[in-house]
Amino acid sequence: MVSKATFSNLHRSAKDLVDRSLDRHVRLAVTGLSRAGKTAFITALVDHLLQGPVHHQLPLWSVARDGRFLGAKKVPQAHFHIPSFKFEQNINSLRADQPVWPEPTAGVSEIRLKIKYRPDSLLWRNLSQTAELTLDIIDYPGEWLLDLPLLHMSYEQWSEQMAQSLTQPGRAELAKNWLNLGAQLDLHGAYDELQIAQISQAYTQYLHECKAQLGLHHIQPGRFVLPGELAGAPLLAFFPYVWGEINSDHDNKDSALSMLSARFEQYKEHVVKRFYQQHFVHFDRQIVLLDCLTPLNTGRQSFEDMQTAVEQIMQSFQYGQSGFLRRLFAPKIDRIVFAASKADHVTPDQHENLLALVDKLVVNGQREVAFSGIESHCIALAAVKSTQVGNVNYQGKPHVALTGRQLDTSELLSLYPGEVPADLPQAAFWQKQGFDFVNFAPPVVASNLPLPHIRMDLAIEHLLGDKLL
Amino acid sequence: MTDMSNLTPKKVFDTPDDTGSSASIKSAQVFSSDEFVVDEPESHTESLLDEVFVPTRPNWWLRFGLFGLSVGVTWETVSWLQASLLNHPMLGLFYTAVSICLVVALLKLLWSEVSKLNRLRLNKQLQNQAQLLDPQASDGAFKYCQQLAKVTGQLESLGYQNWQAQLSDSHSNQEVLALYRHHVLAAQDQQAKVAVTKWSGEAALLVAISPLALVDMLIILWRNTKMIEAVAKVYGIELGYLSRLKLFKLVISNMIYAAGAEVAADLGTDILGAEMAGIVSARAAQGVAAGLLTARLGFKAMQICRPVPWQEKERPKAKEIRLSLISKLKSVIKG
Repeated sequence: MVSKATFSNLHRSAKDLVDRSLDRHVRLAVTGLSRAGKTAFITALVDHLLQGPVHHQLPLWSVARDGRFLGAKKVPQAHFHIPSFKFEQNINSLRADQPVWPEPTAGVSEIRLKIKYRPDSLLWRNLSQTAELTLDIIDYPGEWLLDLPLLHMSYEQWSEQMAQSLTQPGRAELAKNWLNLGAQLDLHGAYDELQIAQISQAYTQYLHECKAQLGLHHIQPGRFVLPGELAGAPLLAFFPYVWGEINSDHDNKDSALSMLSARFEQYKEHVVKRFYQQHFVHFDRQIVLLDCLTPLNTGRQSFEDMQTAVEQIMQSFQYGQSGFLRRLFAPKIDRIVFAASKADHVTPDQHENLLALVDKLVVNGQREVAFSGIESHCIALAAVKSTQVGNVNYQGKPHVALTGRQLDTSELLSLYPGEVPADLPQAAFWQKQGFDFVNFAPPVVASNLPLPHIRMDLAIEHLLGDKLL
Repeated sequence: MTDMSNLTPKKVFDTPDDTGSSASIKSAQVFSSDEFVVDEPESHTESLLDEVFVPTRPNWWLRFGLFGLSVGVTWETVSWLQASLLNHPMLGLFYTAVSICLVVALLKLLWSEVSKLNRLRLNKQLQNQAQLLDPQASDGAFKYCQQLAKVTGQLESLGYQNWQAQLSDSHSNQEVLALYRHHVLAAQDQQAKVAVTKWSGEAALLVAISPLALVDMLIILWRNTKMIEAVAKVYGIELGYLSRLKLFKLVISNMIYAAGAEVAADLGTDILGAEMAGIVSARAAQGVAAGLLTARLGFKAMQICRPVPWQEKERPKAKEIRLSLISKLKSVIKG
């Protein structure tokens, strides 16, 4: 006969087993081209989760809405060699008396949370009252995904492509210094480390200027502008040869050409491939933040460049399509959210258009992604809502408007930023476009209140909703 | 062997006279592009109610007859009052007062009946409006939900306040409506479901213990009436005499016409439920069948009274009710 104590022991150990099996794990990757709002997104996301269920402002997240969200806690991250996401520093700058946007991050960083919730399904509810989900949030620059096409190319092919890109308007002007320096290089002569370092520095400078002045995103190699931990490594001291044909037939081992192409190959092997093998393979969920508004402000070239960049980023998720990618890595990502960030910088009546625009931007890649069995969603969000919506009296009629603190002058400003095109803008759009949005500073929020946001809850629902059943 | 001479030989017919047909062929025509109107595909988003709300052809004979009758009655009353005022002024005054009272009471009744009927009609409009809202845009849903709450008497409810607390100025129509469904409608649905479970359970029990078929029928009729009233009340619809009749007609015809397929799909499990109860007793089986029918009517009444059409997950299922019916009957019969 089984005694009561044995039975309750058995019950407890069975419960432990269930708890452990319920304890699940998601690696959520957050990416986006620089200035898309990754840091603000992660800071806001972590803050909302840590705020807990009592005064939550996440009604579209079904777990919180049904009252099943019990709380979250920050726990030590799994990989100690990866820099931590500086959550405290970022949230302090957002919640300061004079709030400022958090410092952007340059490399990969990670943070780990434990989310506690009440399971919904009858079976689990009977087995265990609460369940935990470990959430790793990994932040990495979207530019790193733009290096993927390099893997197909040899140094010669890449140089040729870069030479072609110089014909784009504005680029040759910025490249002048680099082009002058590089013209003195003897490709087949013995290499001079100092000279190569100088030229590659000039090249890096040129890439930075492309980004800053032309608003370009599609910059290769991506690590040159966002080196992360590789800053100053000789691995990044190379550049494409654009001063004529490359003839590698009669080349000796010590020539500048063999050095450059060796570094190019090393870059592919140790930087590009390693990123995919070390990080990308392990992601379960992915959110890609896209800032469509800044390119609309900057102009046609910037927008078209972003379009190219987005298409290239999408390739990283199309692993099912090509044997080459599958051999390299077999990622586990089964859900992607494409989010148009800064939705608070346009009036709510334009959210529909903004969403449609993002939809059109990713539609080509989305088809392929869907074919690989990945679920994808598009949303328009603002991690921290910096404006208020209201009406102003304009020519005798009420007109919808935004009001907020201007980023550069810190003064209150009410404006209507114009209409967002619902379709990919054609040539005619750029001639008569009246869209001009202003960057706003983060709002002043009382320390006991959650940060205001737009559709962060929907993003959480799409990214994690199915994991918290 | 076939006789070759029987086979029909080849015939050549005259080529058809083409002078007539060429006249009817239209030649190319160029229009200015301003006149071009794109064909919109017709949407087929009729609600179930539309099928029931098909206006019947008016019976003009009856209308003229009734109109004549009312004119006649008014005329007769007025002349009778006139005559009695002339003959016996005191009695005449008394009769006039009585008639005025009656007319006022009648008008009041008529007014309340008509307004209650209109409330029922408003439900259909609201259901249509919900489908017309552009899900991604951000206009209209808030006002629409406010109107819903006002009409269904939810302005003071906790759910409505929670709903308002969680709204922000950047929510799209779809999101506003989803939140309203969750906070306000879900609570109403829950109340309505409780009512349906209660009344169908009682119907099942009474049928199971009643000895006569006639009594069974009366019980079902009586319980169903009570249940539909309760459901309507949950959704803020007050029923008058006419509107009650109308709602009953709607529910029944919806059961018969619109939900034919639905009933057929569920019939198997219904029978299974009744059979399972049949193991316990034949009467219990009868009871379960009656209870299920009542519950089904109740769900239809919910569908009609609900101001926003069901979404896939919200639709109540007969399965839950069946189990509770069986256990209820079991406990009564065995105990």
